[in-house]
Amino acid sequence: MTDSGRENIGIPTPENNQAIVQAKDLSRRYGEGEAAVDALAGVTVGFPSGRFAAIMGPSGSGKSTLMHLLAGLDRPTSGTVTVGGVELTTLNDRALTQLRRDRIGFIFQTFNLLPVLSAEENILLPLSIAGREVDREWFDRLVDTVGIRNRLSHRPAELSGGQQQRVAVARALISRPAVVFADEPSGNLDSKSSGDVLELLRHAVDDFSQTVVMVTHDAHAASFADRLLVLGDGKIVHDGEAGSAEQALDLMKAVG
Amino acid sequence: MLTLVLRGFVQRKLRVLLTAVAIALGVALMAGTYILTDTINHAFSEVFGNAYANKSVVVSEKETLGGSQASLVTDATLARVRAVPGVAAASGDISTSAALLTTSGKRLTSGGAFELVDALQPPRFEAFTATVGHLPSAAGEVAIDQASAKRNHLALGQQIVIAGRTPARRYTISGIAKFAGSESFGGTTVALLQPSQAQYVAGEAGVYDSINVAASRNVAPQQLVSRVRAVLPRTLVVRTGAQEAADQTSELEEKLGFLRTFLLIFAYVALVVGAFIIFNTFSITVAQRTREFGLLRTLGASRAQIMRAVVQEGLLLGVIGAVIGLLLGILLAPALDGLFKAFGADLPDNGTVLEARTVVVSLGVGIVVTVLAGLFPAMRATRVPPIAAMREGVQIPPRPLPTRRMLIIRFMLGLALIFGLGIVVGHGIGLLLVILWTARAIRLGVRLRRKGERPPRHYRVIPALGHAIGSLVAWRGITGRLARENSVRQPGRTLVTALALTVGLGLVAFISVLAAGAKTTIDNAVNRSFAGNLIVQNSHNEGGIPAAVAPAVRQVHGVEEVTAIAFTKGRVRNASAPGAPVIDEKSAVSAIEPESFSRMYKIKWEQGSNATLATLGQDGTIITRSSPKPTN
Repeated sequence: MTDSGRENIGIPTPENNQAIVQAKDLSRRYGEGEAAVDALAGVTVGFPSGRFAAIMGPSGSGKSTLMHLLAGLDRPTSGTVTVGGVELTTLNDRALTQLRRDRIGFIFQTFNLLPVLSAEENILLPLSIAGREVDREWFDRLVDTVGIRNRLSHRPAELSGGQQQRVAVARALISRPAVVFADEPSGNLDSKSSGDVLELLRHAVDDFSQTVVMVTHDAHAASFADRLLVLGDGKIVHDGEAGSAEQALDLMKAVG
Repeated sequence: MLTLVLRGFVQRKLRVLLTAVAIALGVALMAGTYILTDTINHAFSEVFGNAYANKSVVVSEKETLGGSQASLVTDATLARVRAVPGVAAASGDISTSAALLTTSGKRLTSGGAFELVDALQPPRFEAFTATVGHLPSAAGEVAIDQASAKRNHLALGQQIVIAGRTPARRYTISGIAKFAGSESFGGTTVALLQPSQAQYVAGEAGVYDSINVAASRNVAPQQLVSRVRAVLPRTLVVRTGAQEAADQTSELEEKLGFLRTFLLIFAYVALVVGAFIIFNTFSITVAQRTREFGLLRTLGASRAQIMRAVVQEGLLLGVIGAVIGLLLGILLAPALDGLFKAFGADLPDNGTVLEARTVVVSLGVGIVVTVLAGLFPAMRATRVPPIAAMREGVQIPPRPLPTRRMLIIRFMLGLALIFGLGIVVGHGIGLLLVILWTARAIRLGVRLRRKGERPPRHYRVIPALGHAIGSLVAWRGITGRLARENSVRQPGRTLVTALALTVGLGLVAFISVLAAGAKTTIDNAVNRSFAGNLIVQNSHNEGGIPAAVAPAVRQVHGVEEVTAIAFTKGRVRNASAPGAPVIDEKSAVSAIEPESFSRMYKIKWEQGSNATLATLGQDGTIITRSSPKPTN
């Protein structure tokens, strides 16, 4: 399994062009009886390899739920999710954990770096959890790409928000995952840092052929993506090329 | 992952240290107890070793009351021993307990420490050497051990009073002595007198307690033992000095075993309380780090890895705590010793003894207890869902219900464990555990059938208590109210926190009640049978009081009746058949004055009556119901 991530980097082959992440008739219901809420009501969507997709939608539209289901952090009420050909719904906790470890990268709104570890150790954390060897070349390339070489020995508390999130981006990419899920990656950043981080994601897609799925409610952030999905009331209400921030904003207004 | 654990430790030094102290205190008490008792044992074995260093063979009396003529060690016995080939030297020794007083009547010891009067031995046998002055060379002279002299500010030329079984006499201090290089004879106050004077104090002129024998060159002690034994009556005990020293050491170790057990109980109480504190701290930190565990799970850490990380933390904490505890224990041992000294029990200390056992046991117990205490919180940490990394305030879900099969397996395992324990802890507790365990299994089973989900726990008592007690502080404004609400909000947490205190207090109370109970039982037994008003006895319970005391007390105005009693131990044998087996090796024997005894003590007669006492004569005895019965 150790080398499986590599296949997804490089020139897209016809095989890779198929959706690396695929959801079919995905539903998620919270609660029971009359208090039940359908956070997601039958979503079918595929994310092709090496592309940058943004998922937008107002609060409660189900965009976070969709991402949790796609990333194997939550289990659907019905429907299936496939990541790299593996159907998540059939996996037990251990196998699901291993899949997250080897094939999925995460970027969080609140950075979620471990405060006791240095920036370098945080970046290498996924490999140390997996017990895998560090590809120094790849590490160096990532560190230079995100631009935190002179901050490697610092702890998160000694870094600015933008720097922390850049460390988090490097962490998400270090294990060469099949897909990176980013949950409001610019939500906690000022506009300058926010732009830097989004550029980084764009860069990862363009130069490393990384597949990125980003959830955001920031139209400006969405404009960095190739594709824009808009969710409303647990359903996909728009799926198309991501245009400018203004276009995204208009789409959002239409959903309400 | 280990890096993560280590980093966490380095960066939370204060918390780690404070938590480690919880376990360190128990370990310290435990290590301190071992070190203290080992040190005392070692010191005494050295003391006894020195005392018998030059004594190849020792002849002594058996422990008997008064002693028949045949069992006495007399000048004649001494002469017979001296005549044995291979005996280089022999001298009669006396060691008797007596009251040592200043001329103003103050005792030289306090707190029940032993006081002995020893007969001065020829230089080759004498373990005492004078540091100031000289050992007694005249009848009116006495030498005192250095520790006692220091404690009582005694100086050469001063007088002390020695009261044994005969009327008290005054002696002038001619020397202050060290015992084989140490200041005292294992904390005992010793007065050295000329042999004739020691015999006077013991009340037996021309009689010794024992004979010290030195072997000629080329004669092995064991060989000499058989030779000496051949010329003496069988009522005398003949042993090598080494045997005697070993025997006295082990006898003392037995007595000290009580002290060890007593102190260890407190160490275990401290450990149990410490374990609760660890459990609590871990529970809190696990709850605080929900997000961190969630992140690790998201990044692909398995439940086992999370479990391992928390257990490693416990292990590390245990090691730190146990090592601190051990070091504290090494410091604590002298402090405990000082405490005993402050209460007057002057225990010898010839250098601290740290045995490998002390290190292994205290480190082992400390580490195991800490790891066990952290196990449950560690299991809780594994239930943190990965989603906790994404959201604030994700609760750790309650333990899922076991499957039917798991429930049955667990029930059986639990029963097996309880039956195993039942043998150790007794059937009463075992039965209680079985009932509790069964009730729990039934409850789980019912819930399993009904819902398949473990409902949140309901505590009614804790919130009610929290409200009641909280009301006492609630008037203090917002902080008081917050305190109250916090204690009510999570009853489980409040319960566990309070439990640490409860267990500690409970155990201490239990031990005090037990000790007080034992004391009362003894008191009652004495009071119920004793019909008199006063008991006169030697203040250190060992050794008798002069026979002259009874007539003297009888003279006191207001005393109506006095009865004298003597206690000793003896071997009981069925006398009907010669060579019959011994019934009791160390039976308690009391000597009474028949006519006055029944008026002072109420005897519950199974057979016989108070009139029987008058018929006792020289060869009659009364036995208690629990005494072993003669077989025919």
